[in-house]
Amino acid sequence: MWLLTAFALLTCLIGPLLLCIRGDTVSRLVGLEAAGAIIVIMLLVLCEAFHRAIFVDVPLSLALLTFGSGLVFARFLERWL
Amino acid sequence: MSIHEIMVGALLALGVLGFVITAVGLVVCDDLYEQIHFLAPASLLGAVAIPAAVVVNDGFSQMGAKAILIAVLLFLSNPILSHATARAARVRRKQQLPPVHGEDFPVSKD
Repeated sequence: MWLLTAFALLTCLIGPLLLCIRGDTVSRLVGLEAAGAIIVIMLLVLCEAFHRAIFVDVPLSLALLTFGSGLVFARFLERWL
Repeated sequence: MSIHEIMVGALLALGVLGFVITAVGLVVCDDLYEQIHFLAPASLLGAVAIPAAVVVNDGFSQMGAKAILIAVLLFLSNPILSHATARAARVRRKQQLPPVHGEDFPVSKD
């Protein structure tokens, strides 16, 4: 059940991927943020599927980094790029 | 199949539904601001339901506590990120954040 959920989440990455391919610059940032949220939860589901509690730190730090990178990209797109 | 497994399955299905809505919405919508709206189901529905399934499955163990932390992080970061992205998009398009001259929405007098 958990592996099936992880596979479904992996399939959901197609949406942000298409957006990153065909969108304009800010749309690509939206795609990056959506992909970040999907990957964080996918890693959490994989940790649960393989019973590796120690690896939950990976999605936890990725969630923090996704937040920071989204803010930095938004600020850069607003001012300089 | 116990009630416990049914609850976990239902929460997982609900979470995946949120992510599917996001993925389909991002592809279907052409306007940037509509796409920003479609970030919400992933981070509000999906990112709460799936960690809830982990907590139901594991209890408040190390995994459960960290899953709750991840859910809180994603839940709180999504509105901030959406706001920052929409603001960046507007500044890029209009060259400024305040309403430009002749723009069709309410402008304060002062």
